[in-house]
Amino acid sequence: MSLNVLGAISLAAEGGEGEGFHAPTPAEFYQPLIGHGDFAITRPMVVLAISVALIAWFLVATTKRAAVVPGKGQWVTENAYNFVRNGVARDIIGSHDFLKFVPLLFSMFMLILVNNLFGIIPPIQYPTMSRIGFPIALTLLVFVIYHAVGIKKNGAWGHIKHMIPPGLPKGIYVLIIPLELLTYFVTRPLTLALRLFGNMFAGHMLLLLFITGGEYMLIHGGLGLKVAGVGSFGMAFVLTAFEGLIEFLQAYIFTLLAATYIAGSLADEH
Amino acid sequence: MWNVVSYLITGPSMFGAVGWGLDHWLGTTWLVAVGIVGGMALSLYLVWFRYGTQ
Repeated sequence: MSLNVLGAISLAAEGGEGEGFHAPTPAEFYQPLIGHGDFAITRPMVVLAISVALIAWFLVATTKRAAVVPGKGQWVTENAYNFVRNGVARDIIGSHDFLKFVPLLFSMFMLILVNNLFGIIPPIQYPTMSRIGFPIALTLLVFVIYHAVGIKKNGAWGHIKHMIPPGLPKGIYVLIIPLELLTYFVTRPLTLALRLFGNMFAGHMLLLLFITGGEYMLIHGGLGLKVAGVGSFGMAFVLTAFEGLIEFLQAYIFTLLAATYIAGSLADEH
Repeated sequence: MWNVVSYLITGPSMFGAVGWGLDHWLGTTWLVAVGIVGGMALSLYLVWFRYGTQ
């Protein structure tokens, strides 16, 4: 048994060290609180509801008496709002008609960010977006919106024609049209949902692995494994910080892509 | 820039699926590979056409 930290951790991760360690499985993510089975009320549902109440209270409370020279809470809210309004909406959709979409983009950004950050905040430690249903719901909303916007602007047939870049050599049209249709209707929403889900799920699994593995090694191991357990907790610490970065990034990317798809539907020409 | 990822995923998948279907129908084995590679080529061409030239 070597004292190599990574070696010991990977050995324990396979579940091969001692017969008592059970590596975390995706089943750990299903945490029903009321009821059982498919229609149970699960912990992520409750956490999502709490996050909505929290965000609503924070946004209302910090802007209630809006002063020209902002206090601390108002400054945070203003910065977050400006970040989405200018950095994402105005820059991507263009200054002509971006204002209509700022509420949507800002709400989605705040919701995804807060719920992602719940993954590393101790009493909760559950990123709600790691249950596939939540990203799917958000993506469905974005999907309906960017098609509705395109159809309202160009008409149904115009919206479909808009998907194909003009000026293609005639022979390739037959191949490009199904490719574009598949991209707009299947691949874009699919990747949007799966990107958010995958990042949150994988990040949480990593944290679960290192923390439960470290705990097991510290309690049940010999001296070598105890040292490895400390190392495992060190890795968990590093990964938690990294996870915080990833959570912010994924919220930003989701909002950015939603804005990009809307801008693509609104574009006048290529 | 992220739109490019959608094209790069869709092209090979779709034409790979078409290739697989043709393989299943005609009994050949290599149409899947042709589909995937051709789909990727088509995606890259489309990305170049849409974003690379004015």
